Amino acid sequence: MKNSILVVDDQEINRVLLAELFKDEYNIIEAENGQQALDIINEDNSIIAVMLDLIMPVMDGMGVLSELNRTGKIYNIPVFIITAADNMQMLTGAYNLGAVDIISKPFRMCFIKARIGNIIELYRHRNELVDMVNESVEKMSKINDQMVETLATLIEFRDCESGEHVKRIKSVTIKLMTKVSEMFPEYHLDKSTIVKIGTASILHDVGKVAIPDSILKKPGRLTPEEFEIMKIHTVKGCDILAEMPEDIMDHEVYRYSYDICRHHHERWDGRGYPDGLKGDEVSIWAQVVAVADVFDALTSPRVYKAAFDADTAIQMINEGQCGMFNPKVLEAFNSIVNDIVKKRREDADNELTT
Amino acid sequence: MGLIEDLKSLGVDTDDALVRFMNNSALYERMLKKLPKVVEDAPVMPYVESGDLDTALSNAHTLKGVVGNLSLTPLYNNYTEMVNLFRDDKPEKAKELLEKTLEIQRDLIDCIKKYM
Repeated sequence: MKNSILVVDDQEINRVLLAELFKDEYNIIEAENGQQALDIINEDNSIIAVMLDLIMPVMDGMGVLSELNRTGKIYNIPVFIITAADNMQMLTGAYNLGAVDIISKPFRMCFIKARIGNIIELYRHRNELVDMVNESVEKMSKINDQMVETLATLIEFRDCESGEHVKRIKSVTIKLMTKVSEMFPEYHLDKSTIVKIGTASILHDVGKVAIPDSILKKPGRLTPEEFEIMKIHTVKGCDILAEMPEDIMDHEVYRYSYDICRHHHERWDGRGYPDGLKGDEVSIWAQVVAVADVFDALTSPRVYKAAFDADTAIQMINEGQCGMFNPKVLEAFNSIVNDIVKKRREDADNELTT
Repeated sequence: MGLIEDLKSLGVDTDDALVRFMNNSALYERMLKKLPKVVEDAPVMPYVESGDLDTALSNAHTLKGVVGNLSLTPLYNNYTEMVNLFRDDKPEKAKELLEKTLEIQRDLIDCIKKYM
């Protein structure tokens, strides 16, 4: 699609002159006043520059500049003031609102074409660079997520797991957080926060790296002393995170990871560990990961037990056999668990056929 | 003689205008023929006489921009000065200048209308 220039002037003669100048290179769109111009800018993504008269009926050029400034569009679309005005106060105001250049009437065509053309080209380069930087940031963020996931998978391998556990926890955490956010808006969870919490959840058991094999891989029930050692994986996880280089992950993801590591074994009635927090003293994300973790542990085989079927696991969780959970989180869990089980079966079937 | 030559004889800087219109004399003539309507839509004198000096200034400003782009030099110079007089709060002087300007404007408009 050809890029467009929007020419805004209440006098047709002035609009036609500017249109004539740029018609071969750009699609020209005309507006007779500021309000028409704003409507067009809001609807048409092809506009790469605006030539704006200042004194017009309905809405003047300063009104257009103020609105483009408020919406931030002024940073992406260069606005040239085309005016017969020589009022310094007004022209300074236009610059302050983000106009890139002021061109006086009567126009000098060869200059105007060069000045406007140069700035359009600069903006095009700048926008290309911004796109490239955003692409790189996204790529880096993806690589960081993959590194964190790889780290978590390595730890799972030591625990005789394939790494699928952390992927399932991430998936269930995102689904359950999404449901909690829909059913209980008081937790103020938006989509981007939920994605970050999902990424953070995969490090919930990173502290297990500090637990001796004799306990971690023990094919039977742990003694009370061994269980006390096992419990410290929550605190050790935070110690490990504290030693990680600062920039290895998004600051917010790090904050959620730290909290989830420490508190994913807390329980609603205060009988969890390591801090014995009660109710909503535990963050909603740690509460959600706790349910996701218990459900996955129950329905997966471990060195010390066989896997429970999904119905039994759901019943055990609801009856409080694995500790008490927030009733709101349980309500959200019960409303989506059948979908989770179905998806897991489909994934298992796909794995068998490939 | 055509419109452009006639205007030249009335003191219009048609050479400057043709540079502005990229030597497209047909486009220049087409835009000149829009002038009578622009002048009619943006009168100055009635607002000076009724004391609505803001509208008088605004219309004088509009005409300054248009006649400037059409290189109607005598009118452009007068409207530029008139806008300054209104801004400097000298409406009497602005009115005197407007009376002279309207005479020049009438001649130019009459000339253009002969070709419409």
